[in-house]
Amino acid sequence: MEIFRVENLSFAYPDSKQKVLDNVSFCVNDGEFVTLCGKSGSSKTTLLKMLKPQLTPKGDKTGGIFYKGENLYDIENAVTAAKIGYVMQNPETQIVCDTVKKELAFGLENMGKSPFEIKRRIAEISAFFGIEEWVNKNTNQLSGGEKQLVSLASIIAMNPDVIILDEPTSQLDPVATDSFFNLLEKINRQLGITVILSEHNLERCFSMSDRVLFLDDGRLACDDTPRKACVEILKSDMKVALPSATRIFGEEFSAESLPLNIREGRKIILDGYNKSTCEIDNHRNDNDDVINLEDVWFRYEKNGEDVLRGVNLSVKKSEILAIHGSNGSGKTTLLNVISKLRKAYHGDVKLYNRAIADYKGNSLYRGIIGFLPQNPKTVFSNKTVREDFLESCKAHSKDENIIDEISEKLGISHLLDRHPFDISGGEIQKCALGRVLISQPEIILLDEPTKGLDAFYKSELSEIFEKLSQEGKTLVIVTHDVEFSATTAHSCAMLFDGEIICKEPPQVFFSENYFYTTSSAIIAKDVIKNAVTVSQVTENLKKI
Amino acid sequence: MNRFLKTHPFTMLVYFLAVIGVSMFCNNPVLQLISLLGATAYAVWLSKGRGFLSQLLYFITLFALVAVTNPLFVHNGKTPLFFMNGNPVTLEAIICGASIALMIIATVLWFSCMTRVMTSDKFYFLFAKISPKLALVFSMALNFVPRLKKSYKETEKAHKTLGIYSTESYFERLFLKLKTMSSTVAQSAENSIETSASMNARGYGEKGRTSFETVKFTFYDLVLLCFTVAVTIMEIIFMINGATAFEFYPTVTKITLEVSSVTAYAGYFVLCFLPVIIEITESLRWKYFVSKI
Amino acid sequence: MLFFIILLSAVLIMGTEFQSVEEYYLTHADEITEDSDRVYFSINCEKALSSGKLSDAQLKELNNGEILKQKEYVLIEDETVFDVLKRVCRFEKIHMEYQGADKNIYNSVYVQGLNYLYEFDCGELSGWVFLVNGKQTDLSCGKYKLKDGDKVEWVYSLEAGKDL
Repeated sequence: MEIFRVENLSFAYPDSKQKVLDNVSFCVNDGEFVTLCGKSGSSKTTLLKMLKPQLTPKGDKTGGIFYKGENLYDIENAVTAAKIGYVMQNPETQIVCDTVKKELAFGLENMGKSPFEIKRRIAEISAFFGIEEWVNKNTNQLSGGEKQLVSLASIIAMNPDVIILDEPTSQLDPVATDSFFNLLEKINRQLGITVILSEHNLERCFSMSDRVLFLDDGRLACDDTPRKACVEILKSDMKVALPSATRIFGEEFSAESLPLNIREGRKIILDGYNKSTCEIDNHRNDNDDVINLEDVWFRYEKNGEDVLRGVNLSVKKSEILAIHGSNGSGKTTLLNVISKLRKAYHGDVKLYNRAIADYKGNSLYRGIIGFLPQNPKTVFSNKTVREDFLESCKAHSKDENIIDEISEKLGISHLLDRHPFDISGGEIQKCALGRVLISQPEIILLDEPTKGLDAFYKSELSEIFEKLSQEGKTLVIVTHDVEFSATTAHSCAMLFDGEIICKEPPQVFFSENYFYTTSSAIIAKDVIKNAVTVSQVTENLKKI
Repeated sequence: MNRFLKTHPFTMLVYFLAVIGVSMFCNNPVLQLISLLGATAYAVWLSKGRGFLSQLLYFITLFALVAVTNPLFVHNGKTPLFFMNGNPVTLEAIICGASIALMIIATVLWFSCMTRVMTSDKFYFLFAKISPKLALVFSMALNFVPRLKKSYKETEKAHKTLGIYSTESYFERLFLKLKTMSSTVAQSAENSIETSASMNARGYGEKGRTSFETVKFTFYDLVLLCFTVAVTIMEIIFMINGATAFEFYPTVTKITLEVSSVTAYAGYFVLCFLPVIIEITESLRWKYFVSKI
Repeated sequence: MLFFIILLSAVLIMGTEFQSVEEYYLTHADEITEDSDRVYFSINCEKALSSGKLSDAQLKELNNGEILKQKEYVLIEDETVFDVLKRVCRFEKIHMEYQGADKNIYNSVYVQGLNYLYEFDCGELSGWVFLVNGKQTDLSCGKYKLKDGDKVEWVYSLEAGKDL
């Protein structure tokens, strides 16, 4: 049975002639798992919102959307609210209530269900999701992944027929992302709920999907099984977003045997390729040390636990260092200590061979250190990006020409006169980076710069970072993103149990790791030595 | 341990209002003392004795302060102890001051017990009975402040590292702190649009919103409620018709032990010590049950 | 913080005049001589008794309304009504409570209560009023200067002086 049928849907925002959606037609059947992919700005969110009447934006709409045969907009609000679930990107803002229990009950309360029924649903859902332990917690004590889980549970409690998810894992770390996808699969396979998912993180989705919709510039370029869709996508520049296995072997295989995930990729490489070795690029750097941490210990409260336990780290000039570690391992704290936002109670922190305490007042932030925080919105405080840049210029006594210089370099000149909160995704990340660069810092610290970005922006960012390094800037990046780290970093370090365990060039780092490594490395394990990125694998494939 | 905590929120609210109300409006020192002792007993039980000594010092200081203030300003009373600038400092004024101090401390202690016991979800429940929408607003408000605080801290850190805090003059730094606050508020406003979209998506706004929190009103709650109301009415009557009425000036009323006043004192005593009595009986019962294993 | 409180208390204490009970009542009992000026003083609160708003304890002290029967006292030159009242109350051991500063240039003294009977005890408009030679004056008791032979009556009024 058809759940959704979209016929010749076109949409343009008010006061804009440009069609955001252009003659899109497709249908989704009961119980299917559909992945929607496309570049940022290709209107994926708009399309998804069209399927949910409560969130449909106003504008010029032509064409029809049918839910179970009926015109979507003719159906009662109460029905569409309950039967069509919608999970949004941001885990923080989706949550409404102060405790998990109340959040789970929220939708049901709106529907006017009796307290008895609500209690029963909450009990059911908590058991199914395995969240009984923290049902009484306050929502602001939960991690991002847990919050997203609660949102999903709250919607499932309303017994929907279909769930629509808009990049639900973009703000989550890999472990939470994994759990979330597991749950999504469970919901689809065990409960029979239809799933329509839009994602950048295609590594797992494609294997789980029955169909893939590829949206290119507002038009539906492809509507097919994952493998056939990959064939299409490989022809476009979206191919960088595809799973690693597909990218590596895409050229050589036809639709039926195209690998979609690590397992399939590995099988191919083991069956058909000889061993080879990839050259290691050591990113040799003979410069002086710029950052030195010796036996640094830090804790938040006097009687609290140590977060950093004897950290030893040195970073050279022009180095791009990526620091990895699980959630809560202290990565952000480490950056805070390096940037003097927090003080270590033991150990030496030296910048350019001077103790950090010697940098009096705010001299540290005037040209020595720049910090790009996790949430780029916090960097802005004025009405336009330009105003913020000007404010920084004034504070650091820089000439205003620098604004144009930086905007060109980052490709954000067209965004200067927009309000920062109207910009999203990769663009706001670049603008925030721009503001940080105005003070022309020598050392740039970045906290999860690739969060929520699609593969394009990631590769753009990668180029920008390399350029900065060539100009002599030192970059320290804290990230979960192993793929990004493998392609961009000069050295990778792992923070565990409050210590830096190792620091090596990415090829060594990811090859030596068995589990915490890139998909390419796992595919090529024991076949191609030292290959950790897609390009490294592709270049060293030796067919039997 | 927590039998009293399981009381129905409505009964609990009435209880605290009654106890505090009688304490505030009846100026009989015996009643104040009883109230204070009851409040102290329950406060000690709730905090299990921890931190009590430091609190004790604080209360003794408060008591001394209030008790001393009254004679400084009120010079009524038949028994002057000495004269200050031509005005007598009388024994009656001191006693009155002491009584007021007792009342204040008792009220403070009752309120602190109340905040421990009337948790936010009990308030939520009471709101929900009146209006589920109001209860939701309450829940969202509770969520709002921690979120705003977190957001402010993040924004402050970001602004700090941007180096725009480095101006020397205090005024400019203050101005930038205000900017940070305004940025936080703007972010919060943006976020609230997404939150409202999330609410709409789940059908908020439909008629007939219910609230799922239910607390059963048991027989125990009924008995407690009736007892509280009965004792309160009794105290009010005795206060009005004079059994426990009290005057300080020109002379302090003598505390009589007639039937009516003794009943009043005894009744209030039981009321004030009710939480402690309930808790103690409950733990004894459980000890008995466990001993039988 | 603590230091500040101690400092404040010390200043206040030093600015206050303390007297024991005996000291206070031991003062001022001048002899009436032949050629000294004199005034006649009385304090009466009959009206308060009929209001029904007083407590039993208060009523006990009020002596059926006559707190002070008319008596002769020496008048020292340039004394105001308040000066004499103060002397009289001290000598006769009558309780008095007043508000305001007697010795500053404004002389803004206000008598709140005599013999445990206070203003407002019998309603919003009740309070102590003084008459000189049977009439109310325009000046406050701290400003009105007495002459030889004046008769001063302190009466408790229930209607801000209109019922006298």
